[in-house]
Order: sequence, then structure tokens, then C-alpha cells
Amino acid sequence: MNLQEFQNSVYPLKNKLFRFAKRMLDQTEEAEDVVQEAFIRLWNRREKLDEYRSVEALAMITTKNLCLDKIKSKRYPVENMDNHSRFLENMPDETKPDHSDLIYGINQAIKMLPEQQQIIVHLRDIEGYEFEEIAEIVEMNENAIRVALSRARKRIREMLINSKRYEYQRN
Amino acid sequence: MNTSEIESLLEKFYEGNTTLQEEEALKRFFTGKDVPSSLKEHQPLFSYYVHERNSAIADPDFNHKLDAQLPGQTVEHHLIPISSGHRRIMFIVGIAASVLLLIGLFFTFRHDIFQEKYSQAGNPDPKAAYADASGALLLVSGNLNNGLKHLERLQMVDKAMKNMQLFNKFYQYQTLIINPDEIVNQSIKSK
Repeated sequence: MNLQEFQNSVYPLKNKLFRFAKRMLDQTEEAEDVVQEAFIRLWNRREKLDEYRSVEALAMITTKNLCLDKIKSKRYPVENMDNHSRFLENMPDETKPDHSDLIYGINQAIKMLPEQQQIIVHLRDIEGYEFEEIAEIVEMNENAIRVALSRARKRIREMLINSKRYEYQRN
Repeated sequence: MNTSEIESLLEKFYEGNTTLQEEEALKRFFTGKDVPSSLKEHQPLFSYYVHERNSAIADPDFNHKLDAQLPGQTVEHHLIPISSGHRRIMFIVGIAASVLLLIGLFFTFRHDIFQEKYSQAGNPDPKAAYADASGALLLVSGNLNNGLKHLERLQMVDKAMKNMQLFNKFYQYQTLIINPDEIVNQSIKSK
């Protein structure tokens, strides 16, 4: 694969990779660095890229592994998944406009999920991947992914309902 | 789509059983204008999903920076990204290898625990060694005799074999009884 082909077929993935990295790292700059690093790694394997069934899946896997490395090396503070009160504390204050309020709240709710569930929700509900593709990226079978996805969706709903109740109580 | 259809889709959605097309339909419905108030509570999540899909790298020079970086890179030939699953296996293999290494080192440097007390003492006492050696030999010979005692039973076989010779005689007389002429012949011959 030459540079032009690479630019045409792999560069367009950049925003997808960025959103994925940002979901995992929760920081814009770090996420951009990871995407850049992922591209360099893919480019270094340009001779083999044609052998892969899906370059996109490979790009996502590379991004995921880079993020996991970052999380491990930096000892990112791991969010406590079941810490409800912390989620409620993190809810935005009234000074923020309604719309970003909501996005922030849902972001926080997703962040409370176990890492694997976060990844699955992101890949399915935001990026719209088929279960087959997700299976390749997270190395789980499709049934396990369905179960995890269902659990994650229900958990998010539950957290959002509770946070609303919390708001009512405050007002 | 009517309200009950959306409700059943939602139910499927939370069970993880919707197809991508159905999920798209839900997103379109909830980002549209006519969401009935009974379903309003589901609106934020789906509009969040749609909204998030638009997030992108803000840096307009991102591609150019990459363009500048890539040509200088060398081709990697055999490196495969290690997945987290492989990493776990390698972790376990690593532990197993180091345990084996430790065991090996222990026996390499502490092989003295297998050696007898004389070499450990440094200055061997020949008398004690002789006494021990002869004791050991006695033990061996004692056991050997013990074993030989049991072999005596083999003599029983000899005795039995002697008795078996009686059968021989029995056979002789039997032929004589069946064939009385033989007696005559024999008596003639003997005469």
C-alpha cells in the first residue's frame, strides 16, 4: 500500500478512531495523540494491510490497545463503576445550558460502566457497528456482547432516571 | 411509526436484540419533532448517540502532520499488536517460567541437601563411614537371605514332580490291562 492509497483508505477513519480513543481516555489531546500513533503503526505495516479482512477493525484494535497501554502506564484514576453518589455529584450545575448538561450527564453515566461495556456501547450505539465487527474488536463472542450491551443500556437508563429524581429533590 | 411500535422496539433495544436498522429508526424517531410526551424520557439518550457521532478531530492540520511523519517510518515486518487476551496468557506464562527458574536455581545452589552427611561435614571420619558401609551391606545381605528363604518353596515343585512319576507307572499298568497280550509277549520275551 503506497502513501496515496493509505491516505485514501485509512485517513478517513481518523474521526472514528478519535471518538473511540476519546471515549476510553476521556481527554481530547491524548485521544488525538493516540490516533496519530495508531496511524503510524498501521503505516508501518502497510505491506501487510491487504492481508487483513478489515483494515478498519485492525485500526480500531490498534487504537484500543494503545489506549489500554496509556491507561495502564498513566494509572488513570479508574472510575468506580458502582459509585452512584459520585455520578450524582458530577452532575452539572445549573449554570450550564440545558443541552450540554444532558450530554455531560450521559457521558458521565457511560463512564460509570465497566470498561468493556463502555467500549461495546460506544461501538454499537454511537458508531453503529454490527455485532460481528464488535466481536472482532473486543475479542468476545456475539452472545456475550449482546448480554453486555443489554446490561449497559439498562444501567445507563437507570442512572439517568435516578439523576433526574435527584434533580427534582434538589429543586 | 406509532407509539406502540416504538415501545416494543425500545423493549427489544434494552434487551440488546434490535438490529442496526431498528436502532437507526429509533434514533430518527427520537431526534424528530413529533415525540409524544409519554416517550419523551427516552429522547435524551438517542439524541446523545446521534450527537456524539459528529464529534471529530478539531485540528485542521491533522492530516498534514501525518503526511509529514509517515514517509520517515520504516516498515515493520513481524510485529503483531499484542491483544489484551494474549497479554494475559503471556503474563501467566511469565509467572510459570519464573517459578520454574526459581525452583531450578534452588536445586542448583542447594544440591547439598541431597548429599550425605559425610561430604557435608567436610572432614569425613573413615571409621564411621566403614561402620555405615558394613551396616548397609549387612542389611543388603540380610534382605537377600530373607528373599532366598522364600525360594525354598521351589523345592515343593521338585517333590510334586516326583509324585508325577507315579503317573508313569500308572500308564504302564494301564497299557498292560488294556493289552493283556503284551504281558504274554513280554513274558515270552523275558524268557
